[in-house]
Amino acid sequence: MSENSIVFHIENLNLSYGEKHVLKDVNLDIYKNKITAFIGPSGCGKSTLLRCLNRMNDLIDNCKITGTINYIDNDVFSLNPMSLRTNVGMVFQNPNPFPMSIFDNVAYGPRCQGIKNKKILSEIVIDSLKKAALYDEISDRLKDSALSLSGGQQQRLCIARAIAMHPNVILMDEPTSALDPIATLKIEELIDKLKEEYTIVIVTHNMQQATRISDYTAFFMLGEIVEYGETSELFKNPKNKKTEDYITGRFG
Amino acid sequence: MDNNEKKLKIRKIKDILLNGITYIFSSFGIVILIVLLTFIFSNGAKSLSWKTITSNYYEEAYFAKCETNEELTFSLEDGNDIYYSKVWGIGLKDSKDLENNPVVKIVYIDNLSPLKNALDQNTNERILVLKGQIIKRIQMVNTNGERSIISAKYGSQAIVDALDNSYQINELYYATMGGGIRGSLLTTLYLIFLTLIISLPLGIIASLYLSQFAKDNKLTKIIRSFIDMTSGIPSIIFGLVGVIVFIPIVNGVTSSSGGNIISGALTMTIMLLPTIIRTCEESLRAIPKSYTHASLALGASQTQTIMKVILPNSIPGILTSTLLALGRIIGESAALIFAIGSSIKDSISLTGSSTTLAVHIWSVLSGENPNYEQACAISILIIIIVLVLNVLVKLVSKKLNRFEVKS
Repeated sequence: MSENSIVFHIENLNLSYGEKHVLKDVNLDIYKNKITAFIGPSGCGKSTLLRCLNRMNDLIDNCKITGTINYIDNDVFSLNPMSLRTNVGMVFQNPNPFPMSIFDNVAYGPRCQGIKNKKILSEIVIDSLKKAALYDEISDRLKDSALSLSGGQQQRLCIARAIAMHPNVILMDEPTSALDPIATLKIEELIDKLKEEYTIVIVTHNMQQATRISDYTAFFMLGEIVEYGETSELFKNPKNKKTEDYITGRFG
Repeated sequence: MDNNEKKLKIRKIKDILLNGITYIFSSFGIVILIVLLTFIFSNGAKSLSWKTITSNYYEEAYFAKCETNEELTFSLEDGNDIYYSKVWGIGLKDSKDLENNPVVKIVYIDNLSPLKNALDQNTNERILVLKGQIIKRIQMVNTNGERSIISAKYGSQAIVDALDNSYQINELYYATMGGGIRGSLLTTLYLIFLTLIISLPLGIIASLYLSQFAKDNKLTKIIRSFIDMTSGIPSIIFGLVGVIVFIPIVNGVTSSSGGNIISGALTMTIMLLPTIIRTCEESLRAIPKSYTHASLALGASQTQTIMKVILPNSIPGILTSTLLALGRIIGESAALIFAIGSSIKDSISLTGSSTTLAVHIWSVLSGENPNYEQACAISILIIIIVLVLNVLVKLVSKKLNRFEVKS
């Protein structure tokens, strides 16, 4: 991997919530236009690391962070969080569309950036919905409430909402854990398609999902990265005993 | 086995007992409410009319003079408790005013009646004598050329008899019917409007601070417990604050003297703020954190998140707190006796003293002979106002509730 294709460069990252040391000396590179999966048992810090990447941890009181995260040669912690988040989008575990129309949901981000022109907005909305493979299903219902969609559709709407910001990176925090297998499949197909344009970091509990969609996998335990490498390599020949135990289902 | 069945039986009896208690207690409350409403409606419905609502409290007195000649007579038959004057062409009836005091009411004036040409005693200009007005006292010259005075307390029959004996009225003292509640109704509406205009923005902004910006530290805890404490203070103490603080301030700024609607609204504002702040805070907190996170993750600022996501979605809750506030404004009397005053007025201005419907009830009941019927009539009006506002707010809140998916 050449140096310029690194999107996130994480070095000696330590994070603690009050007394609780959540991330310990994390070093990680995330590559451009690849899907990187974070796996590991619950409470191992993978979601926390994900939230560091777009500084959502800022919202939590008494959260202490040391170390550096570079986003394309910029220190994440010296960037304006709002402009960082327009470049690094996020999709959450539970579908959380706003209680407004489908159109307004997707247009929310661009509107917050001050785009008011209706033509431009509707272009962005339709384009994003198409990219999120949702447009064909709901093209005649753009004015309907987003809450009238099914769970899987809502999650794709949330992805469309993130895409509407034209980010470079999309962070996904267990995006399919609240969905049924068919909706999950659709989202996975979508993620696979999206990596042509975006760098994707996904947290998942589902190891099959990690093997199916990711290019790189990081295995976390107790706040440390146990092993990080190409997915096929990590699942086939795990170098660490703990990784092997985890992926073969002996614990976790 | 036997033991088990016994246990089951005991449990059943316990369940029945507990259920019975809940039924009895809830029906108790409903029965009281129904009795109260029936009492109010059966007593007040008679006295409540459009006229009560739209007319003034004070009678407006007029003094007129009038003459007629012997040739003009009217052929009118007494009947239906109405006594007609054949000479003057008017019909009088013993009636009661809006406050239930006996009065002599003009119920008929013939088109040719000489009273149509009555002149004002002081200005000598034409003055109208109308149906619905009440006669207080008549000073006239009878056919023998003697002066006589007859007042309303003799009743309409005696007045008509006296009138038919004379051709010249030196002084007709009559008045519009008083006892209406227009002034108090207007004051109540002004007060509601003004109080909400002041207290809602203050309350919403304060609750925004407490729910969105304030850190969970000692200071905010102290602020919260102070707010909770203020909502338990008796309203008469707020009335005192109104007298000591707000009345002097408003008097200093405007030309008013004594209690006025503005000072009343300010008093109600500090009284209502705790309730508004706490209920609004609850509704703002009820907005799922996931919305805030989603909005911030899309690069929105905190202000944008609040204005576009949090506030619009908590409107139903904010409206509920408005409803609570409304109820308290309409129902408050103790604090307002001080802050606005208890004198019933007909001409209402923001800086003048007047009284609300609730205090009107108080003054109607606190006189020498309490007038329960009018008190009940005003109560009905208050209940209707509360009901209408309730329905309105509910409708608006339903319309603005974005969580409800219309299928």
